[in-house]
Amino acid sequence: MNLASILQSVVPILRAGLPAVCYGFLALLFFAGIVRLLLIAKSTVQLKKHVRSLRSVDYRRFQDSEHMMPVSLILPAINETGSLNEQVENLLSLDFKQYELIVVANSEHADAWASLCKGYSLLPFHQPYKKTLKSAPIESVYRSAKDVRLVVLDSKEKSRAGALNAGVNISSYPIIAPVYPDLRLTKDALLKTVYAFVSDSACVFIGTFARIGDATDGEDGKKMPVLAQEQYMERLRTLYTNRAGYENIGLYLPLSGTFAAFLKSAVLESGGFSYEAAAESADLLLRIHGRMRKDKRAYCARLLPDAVCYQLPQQKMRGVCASLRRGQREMRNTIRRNRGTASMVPGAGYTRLAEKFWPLVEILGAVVVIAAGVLGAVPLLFMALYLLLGVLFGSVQTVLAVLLEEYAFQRQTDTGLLLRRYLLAIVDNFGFRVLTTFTKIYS
Amino acid sequence: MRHNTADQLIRAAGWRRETVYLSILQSLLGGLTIALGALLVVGFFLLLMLHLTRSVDNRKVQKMREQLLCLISGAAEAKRMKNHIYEVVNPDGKLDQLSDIHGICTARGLIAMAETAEELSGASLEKLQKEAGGEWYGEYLRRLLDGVDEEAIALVIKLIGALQLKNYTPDVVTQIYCCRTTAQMQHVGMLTLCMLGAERDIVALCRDHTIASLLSFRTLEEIFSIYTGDLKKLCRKLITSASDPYIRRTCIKTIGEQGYDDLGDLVLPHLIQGHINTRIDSARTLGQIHFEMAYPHLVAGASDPRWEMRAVIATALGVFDERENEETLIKLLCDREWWVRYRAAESLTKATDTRALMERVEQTGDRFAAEMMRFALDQAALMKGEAA
Repeated sequence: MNLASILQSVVPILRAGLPAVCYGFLALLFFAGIVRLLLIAKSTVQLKKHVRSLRSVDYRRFQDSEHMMPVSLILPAINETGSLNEQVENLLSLDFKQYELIVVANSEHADAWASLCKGYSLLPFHQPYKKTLKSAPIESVYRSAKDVRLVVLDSKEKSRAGALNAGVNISSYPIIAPVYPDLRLTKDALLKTVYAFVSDSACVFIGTFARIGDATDGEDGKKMPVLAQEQYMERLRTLYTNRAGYENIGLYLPLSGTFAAFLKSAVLESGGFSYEAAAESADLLLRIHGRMRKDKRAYCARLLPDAVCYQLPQQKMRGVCASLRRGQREMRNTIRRNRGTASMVPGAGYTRLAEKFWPLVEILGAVVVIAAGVLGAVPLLFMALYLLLGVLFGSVQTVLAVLLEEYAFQRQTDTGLLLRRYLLAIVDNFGFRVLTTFTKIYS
Repeated sequence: MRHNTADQLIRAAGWRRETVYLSILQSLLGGLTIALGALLVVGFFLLLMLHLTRSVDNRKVQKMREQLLCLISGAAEAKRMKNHIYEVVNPDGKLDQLSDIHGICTARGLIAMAETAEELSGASLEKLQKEAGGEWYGEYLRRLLDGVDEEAIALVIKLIGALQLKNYTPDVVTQIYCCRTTAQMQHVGMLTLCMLGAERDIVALCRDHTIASLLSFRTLEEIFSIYTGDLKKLCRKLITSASDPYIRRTCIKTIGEQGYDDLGDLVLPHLIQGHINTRIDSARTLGQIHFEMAYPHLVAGASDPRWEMRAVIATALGVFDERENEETLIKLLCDREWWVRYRAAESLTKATDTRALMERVEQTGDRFAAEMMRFALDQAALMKGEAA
């Protein structure tokens, strides 16, 4: 039997079955669209409540307060080869009474090391410390003669988790906050983050959701190129549907490489950051969940929706795709490594499903409906409406996320920028969003 | 029966049932597409209008633009409201009273009023107090206080504190009692009572065993730190009467921080007996106020089984004559716990003859103690700016 005859016999069967499959995909598209819009609505209500509660208790009162918990920021810069001064300057200029910045760097990276030595007049220090967590030996400890809050560790550590553990070992304060090299914090970042620990003594973790941008105050968005704007909107879409939306119903898995704060005692009890984990912060959070639940202790780990940190955008689409793939891989690794806890914490697995399998369903649906339209199994009008509805659902979702961010967190509205983002939210569905969806499936 | 009739009609028209269902589905899809599309188009035109009218020099247009902008931006709405409030309190302002401000009787209005109150002083603040405490706005506040929306009540209470509206004090106390399981209400309520300096009400609330504090220790500390009345008198009353141990601890810490040395005799019993955290705070406070009567108890605390206590004792002893305590502090410098060694070293850095001190530390033969002492001395030099 040759190929033509096989096709001849298969096509009628396909044509008969395709309409039902198309209707199934339509139902899924409709269901996903409604669920996402509901999640945005839920996020809106919660966000309004959050902003109001912060206003009524007036957390800003704590800015110069002696009663705020001090924080140890840890910057694992072991793989950084360029100058670190811009970031260190950003981290040392935060509006917060008492904190220290521990930079873990490798003196073999001459440029990065020289920038620190020159910029901050580092002095070698014989600092005794307790090696509570596993890390490579610290070659030497340096303190800055210019700013006593800065501590620099020279370490030949290759792993980010090891660098973070070294920072935890030397830290003096009860809250640990890893900051990654491509992050920039807003001036009130620590105040908002640490206030959660002060207001709730059961709090062990506060995660944040890094916005995309190169300005710490978020008002320089106009200068951002189109690709950066697209990344910004993609990030907001993920925040207000998947992450914040699920967090509101008790499910939350942090993004890897974002700014977060841990209670040091919880970090030490759980054995610190793991060398084997691809996303050490998310992995540690799941282990803390596991430990707390096992010990039946009251605790709280949540997401701070405020725009307190910005991640530098990728310059090229290839970089965006690589970063998305890395994110997916890290999420997979985190859930695989903590299967037991992931099954106890509702939503860890579901987040992965929503961010990995829904894109697959979307693309598969589009392909099947187009094929059905071409084969004549469904009318062309149905095909066009299906595709249009997909685009419109996506656009409305992005536009709502952008407007919600504008309403809740932007201090100054730039209508020109907002208009550009609005149009981009629609146009994105034909380019950027398709590419990112493919990337998510491919990863 | 109805189903059969529909089938008969479809057959009579010569259509296939699938075709009819498909056309209905397509109509629904079309409708939904048009609705979503229209939503996007309306949004686009609104934004376009906002953008194009930004430099139009017409008051009416700018007012409309401002109102539209308030739909998109919370900050713009708050700014608009604040500007109007300033217009009311400013003698040369164009508005006379709060009732002239559109939207002032909303949650956003309450927030804007409270934030503006914190920025005002003198005659402007008095004007705002008079307006907010007046009949028209007072009726709105009263309506909210009688309602069930806890978030709105919290905002009203915040405003009462910010504007020092003392005639509402009983309402604040009532709300704390009514919402005794809500941490936010306790926080805002206590904060307001402290802002109002309502000593009698605070003491009565703290004495009540049925009101368990839901607030964290640090939150309580911060709340009491903004008390506008006589803080010393409040501490004296609460340290002996508060039912909540957190509140007693807050008083103990405040006594140390504020240096109320004549209240040391009220703190001392807490060092001798009580929960470990209270004993730790008492030790710290008695050190801070240099309370001589506590000295033997502090020295005895140097061999406490809890390292947290030994660490605080090491700091507290540093306040007393260092020559007298050197032996105890060097013993603590050789402690097995890192933090105790660190605190003891910090206290020892106050010694005048650091060389002799280092020799004594090295004589102990404890490498870790010597390392810690060197580190503390280096750090002290760094803090003084001598290292640079």
